[in-house]
Amino acid sequence: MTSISKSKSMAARMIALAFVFPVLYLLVLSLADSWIFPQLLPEALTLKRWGTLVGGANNLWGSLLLSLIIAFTVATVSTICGFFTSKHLAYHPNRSLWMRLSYFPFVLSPVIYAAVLYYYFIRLGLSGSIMGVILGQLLIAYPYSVILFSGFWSKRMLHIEKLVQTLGGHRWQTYRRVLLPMAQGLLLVCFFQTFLISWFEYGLTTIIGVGKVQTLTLKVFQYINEASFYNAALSSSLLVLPPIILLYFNKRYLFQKRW
Amino acid sequence: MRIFEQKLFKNKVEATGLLLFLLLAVLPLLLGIIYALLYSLGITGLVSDGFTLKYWQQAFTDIELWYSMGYTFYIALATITLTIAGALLLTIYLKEPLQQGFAGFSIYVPLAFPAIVVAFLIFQLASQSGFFARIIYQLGWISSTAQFPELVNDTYGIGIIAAHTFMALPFFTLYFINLYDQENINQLAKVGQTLGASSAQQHRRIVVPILLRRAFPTLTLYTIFVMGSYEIPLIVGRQSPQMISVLVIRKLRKFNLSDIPEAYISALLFITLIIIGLTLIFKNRNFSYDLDQ
Repeated sequence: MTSISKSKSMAARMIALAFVFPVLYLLVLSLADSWIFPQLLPEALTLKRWGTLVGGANNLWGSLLLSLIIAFTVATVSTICGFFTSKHLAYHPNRSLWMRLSYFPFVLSPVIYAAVLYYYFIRLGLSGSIMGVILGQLLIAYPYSVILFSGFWSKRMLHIEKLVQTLGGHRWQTYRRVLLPMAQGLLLVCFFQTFLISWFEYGLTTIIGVGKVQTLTLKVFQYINEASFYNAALSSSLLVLPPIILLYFNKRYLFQKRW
Repeated sequence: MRIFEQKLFKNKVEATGLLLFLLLAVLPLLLGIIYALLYSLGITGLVSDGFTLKYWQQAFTDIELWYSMGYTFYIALATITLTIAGALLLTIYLKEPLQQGFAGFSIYVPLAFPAIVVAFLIFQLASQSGFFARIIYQLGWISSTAQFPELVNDTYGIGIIAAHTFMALPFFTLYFINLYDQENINQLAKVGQTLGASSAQQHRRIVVPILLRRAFPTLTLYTIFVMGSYEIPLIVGRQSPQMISVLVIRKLRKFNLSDIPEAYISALLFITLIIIGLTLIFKNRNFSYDLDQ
């Protein structure tokens, strides 16, 4: 019995290593001075590449800041709008229809969605602009937040709200004193999830942004295209590390359906 | 005393909420579909010369489109099959150790990877001069890169499937583990055992059917998600056949203007597939929008 549990524990550790190995590989590749076939390990490690992060010609710092600004804006707007509208959709007589409709933009391939919408972005003068990319990403992140919040608005919540109002609470007080504190956890989850949707987005950003809005994901692709793998590893590390830090603090921010 | 009258429906606030939803979620989709349809019928766009069905005829006789559709299905089904098999094995046999210590943390790590980084990693690890090839070389099993099998940009989409499976496996393992506890599967299996079911019978007749039935909507959504993936097939896929998203964008960006309507037709066919997939999910009773659930 003990040997079975030991072997299970060993197998779990091996699987865990397989999941963590890519992070270590990316970090080592980003630090490698030279790592050519058939070497198993780099000849030497250098911090030179990481040092060019600020003020370097590759403008990775600029891309990092741009990605952060876009993701923060998309997450804030979609969380607020999603929380606000999902309530009205959830208590609407056509609740089922609205909820089903909210899945379509979300599960549709972002790049195909961007392709069929690109014409309108040009007409609105939004193609190739940061605003355009934010709006494009909102079209995916917002329906997701509606889906995420739909479970929050239940009959129980409606009864609580009615109770508060019966006791004299105004609409604003109901939100501030009851609904928002009760939804606090879900609001945080929604914020981080929509942040990650934006943070990870490549296809839609490249179509709507016409390659001009150089987020980190675009940088990764650019470096892969140029066969500049060390820089691709550096920008990949910048993409992966914030969610891993987030994961360290709270797993539930990452463990949600994002499709 | 002023009595607050609750107005949850038919008021300005509700109207604003619904309007916002329609503006951000419904209208863009409709507009996109309408534009793609008009373009494909020659009514609008750069090659517009009046209503015509020739682009649709052209698309339906284009073998590349059907190959692409088939390839997209194949990749999605292969990924989801491998993911289900792997996640079920991990859930059934390694549920406890995967919830503790280092393993309990590391299983979440792949969820922090964007698709483009996973594609890059697969390229780095599994290509003919990648990390795996180097290990095999150092072991003396191959003497040149060409002897290492093509796992990236290959005919069978092994690289694409591996990348998607790497992303999906931890998620579904965690999802199944959660369902296992939520559905009291352990208790049900014990009842089965009391009634004389062997360990294999408990897994086959109780654990697996319950997990798969409960996870059906999520599994279908994930299949759709894989079908629409772009970055992974773009980096580790081949020029031909291509997954549908890559094909659509390639045709849209080609210099040949007559390919653009076909790109929109491919997009419309994909959207139709998604509608069919979602309709299937919505019919599932686990996908209820009852306020009590």
